[in-house]
Amino acid sequence: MKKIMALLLAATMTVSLAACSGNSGTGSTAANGSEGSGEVVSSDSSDAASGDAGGYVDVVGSAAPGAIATESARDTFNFAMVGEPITLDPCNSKDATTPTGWMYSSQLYDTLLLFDPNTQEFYPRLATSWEINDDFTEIVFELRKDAKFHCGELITADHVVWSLTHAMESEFTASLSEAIDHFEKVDDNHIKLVMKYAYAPILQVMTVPCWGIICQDDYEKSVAEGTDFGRNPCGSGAYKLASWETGKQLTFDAVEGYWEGEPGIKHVVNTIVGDVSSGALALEQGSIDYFPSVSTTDFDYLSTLDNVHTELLPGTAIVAICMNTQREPFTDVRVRQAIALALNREEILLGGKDGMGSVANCYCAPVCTGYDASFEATAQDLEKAKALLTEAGYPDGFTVECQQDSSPTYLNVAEVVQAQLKEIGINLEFNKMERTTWMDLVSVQMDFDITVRQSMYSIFDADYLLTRRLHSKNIGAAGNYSGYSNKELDEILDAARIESDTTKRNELYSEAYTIVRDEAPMVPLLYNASLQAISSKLMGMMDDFSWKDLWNRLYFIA
Amino acid sequence: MVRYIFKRILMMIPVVLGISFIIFFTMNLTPGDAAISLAGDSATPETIEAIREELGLNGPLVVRYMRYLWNVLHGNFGNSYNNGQPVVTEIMARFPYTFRLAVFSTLFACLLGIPIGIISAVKQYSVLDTSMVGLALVLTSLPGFFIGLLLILVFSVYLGLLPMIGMSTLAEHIMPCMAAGTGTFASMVRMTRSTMLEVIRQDYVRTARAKGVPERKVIFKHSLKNALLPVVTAIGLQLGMAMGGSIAIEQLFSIPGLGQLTVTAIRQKDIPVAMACIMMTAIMISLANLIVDILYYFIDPRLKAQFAKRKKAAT
Repeated sequence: MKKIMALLLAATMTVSLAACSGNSGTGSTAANGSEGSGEVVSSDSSDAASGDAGGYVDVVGSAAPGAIATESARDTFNFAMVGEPITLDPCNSKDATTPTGWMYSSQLYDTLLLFDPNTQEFYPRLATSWEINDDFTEIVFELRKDAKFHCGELITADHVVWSLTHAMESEFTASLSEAIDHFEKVDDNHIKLVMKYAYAPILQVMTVPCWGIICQDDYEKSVAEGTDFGRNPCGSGAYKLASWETGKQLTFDAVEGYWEGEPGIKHVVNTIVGDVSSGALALEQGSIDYFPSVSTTDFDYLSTLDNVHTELLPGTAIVAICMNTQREPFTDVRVRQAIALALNREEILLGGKDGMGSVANCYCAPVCTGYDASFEATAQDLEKAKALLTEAGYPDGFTVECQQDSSPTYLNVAEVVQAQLKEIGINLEFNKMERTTWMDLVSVQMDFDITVRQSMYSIFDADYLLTRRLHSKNIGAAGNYSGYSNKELDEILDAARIESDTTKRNELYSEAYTIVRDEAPMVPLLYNASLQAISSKLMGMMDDFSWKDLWNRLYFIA
Repeated sequence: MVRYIFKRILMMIPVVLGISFIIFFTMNLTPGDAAISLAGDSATPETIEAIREELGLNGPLVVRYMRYLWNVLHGNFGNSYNNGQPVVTEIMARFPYTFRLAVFSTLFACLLGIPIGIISAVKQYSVLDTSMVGLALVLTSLPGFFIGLLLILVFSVYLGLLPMIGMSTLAEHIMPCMAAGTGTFASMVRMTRSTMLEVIRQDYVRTARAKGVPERKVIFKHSLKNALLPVVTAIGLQLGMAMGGSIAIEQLFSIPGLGQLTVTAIRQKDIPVAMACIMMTAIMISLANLIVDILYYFIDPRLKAQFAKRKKAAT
């Protein structure tokens, strides 16, 4: 008996020790190929081609935003993210259109151009210059001659055309590529983008990192061998993946011989944390240098620390009340107007978002082209709201189900809205559900009455959300889930998206905002904010509110 | 005995099948599917439909379930809907973390809890007993993640002694294992104490003492073995449950374990991953129960005698 017990104990100890000493068992992936050895050039692209006009307009050819930082007190940059990336393939997951995906793709893959959302200017990247034809349907890009893939292969026009076509064919870029017909090679250093129709924000579309150039040979090899390109990527950017330990961390190394030069930050470690509090604590403790998903509670605390610098960056989303205009009682414009009149946006911002963000004045975020800062939203007027409800046949108000995503992002706002609508007799009864169910009900089936929803921008242009959410051609799962149809609004949106004159375009959008305010199929409430925190010794971060800060621009001070 | 073990293992098959059936149909019959979650906010209806087609979500439910079972029987658990990785790879990358967390937290709880429980029982109503029972009561009432937060605050933030993220180095094991094991530790103390108190009051113990058997022998040889029976059951069940992953602790210490994977998979309707995780938890709990039963055989002489009697009758 004693012997058996001793054996059992010994077995338990052996198993435990093996578990302790053994490798974690997670896969570690080496980066593909060798580094490029191209000539290092200045980030000032003074060699931008002027291009002959011939029906084309030479648009831009200036320096890239921010210069590469070659010196840094520390060469390793540590940051944390909640959850790991789905894939590092720039165009084959939903992260093709989210800031999370953009952050990784911006480092691993170069796009043709860069866009500075703060100045609304375009800058050269893989393309040194670009020309747009008069009717805004074709763009010719001149390519760099010294750019190489991580495997060392020189990037040619053929590669670029293949990569862009590959991205265009991905189902995840459909919301961005609808205006694009095809890409074609002009000569060894030029490629042409041909559009189906004129589309004013096309240049901005091309700066989204999902259009980052990937290595064709490597991708095709991955497909042939059945390996996952997203875990063994070969890109064209300043950094390459060094290892990926599932659920734990990803590491990146600077690419030697990258055309922009050698950066001060040579290694990047991305730790995966379980939740936002862990990230904030790690930043406070100093084990990471950057955390982009700070909660409102942690933000206040982190702001008081000397070793941490916090910043409230403009968000890339609008929070709005969406009513199903094809269902009673929201078929009646007076009911929708009454709801708009009952709301106090300042209180919603305070109660729903702890004051982090700003109140919305129109259905367009301030970071977008086409935003009208002088536009006035419907002001709170309870008497007028009640009168409108009486006129619509609801003198005592009504009770309606509010199908709501149960995550705090939406629910906190919805609860304040619920309290405010009660004052005019409208009783919102919550039907809370988890996100996937809610999205199916609201976005796909349109089987809802009223809901609070946050909509994200993939490009910072008024057209992106206005057309998707309110154009009658998109009713239903295409994005207009309020089912709103207005011929006048459709015409304005159609005219604005092809208008190349910015002033005229802005005027058209102001007209659109007026219709949306008066008809109220959607009531914009808030513009969200991105709460970010960095080590106070890290410089060059948080210049881009859409998480596209380039790591080779970062540096540490002593 | 071998026949018994074999029979018990066979009994796990209908259990796992039943669980797989319930999970598969529950996840598929609730509104929304993985395609919506995967497509993201900017998706067009065509995108959602293309993903649905790619994942094979359009076929009849029963056919899909049978196909799933067929593949599982051939050792193919499918690929994650979320990132396309093979489910087995996903689970094997995370299992070592969960295994270590479960084993070490249980070891911590037992190695500390059982001796304290014994001392408390032997020295009943002493200062040590009172304080330990009080501590156990407090620790039972506090959830593990709260204790984890306190540990992080003291040892990581204020003292800077222990790392708060991950579980790879020895130092990184300390706080998660303590936080995960505190609840078990408290119940070990309480359970060992109460069963020991029951046993040491029995006649045979009194007889042993009357016969002049040294106190240490009375406690460890005559009493402890009997007192440990319910404790072993509790350890087995706790270990089995812990093998399914401790969601709160994994989340708090950013440990890429099975708990996190399960929750994420359920939230994203990643059916292949969720099915495999839940089935694995069920198998772990069943195995833990089986091991407890086997241990009973060695600890409890009555069971041993029963088996011996049956064997004799058979011959």
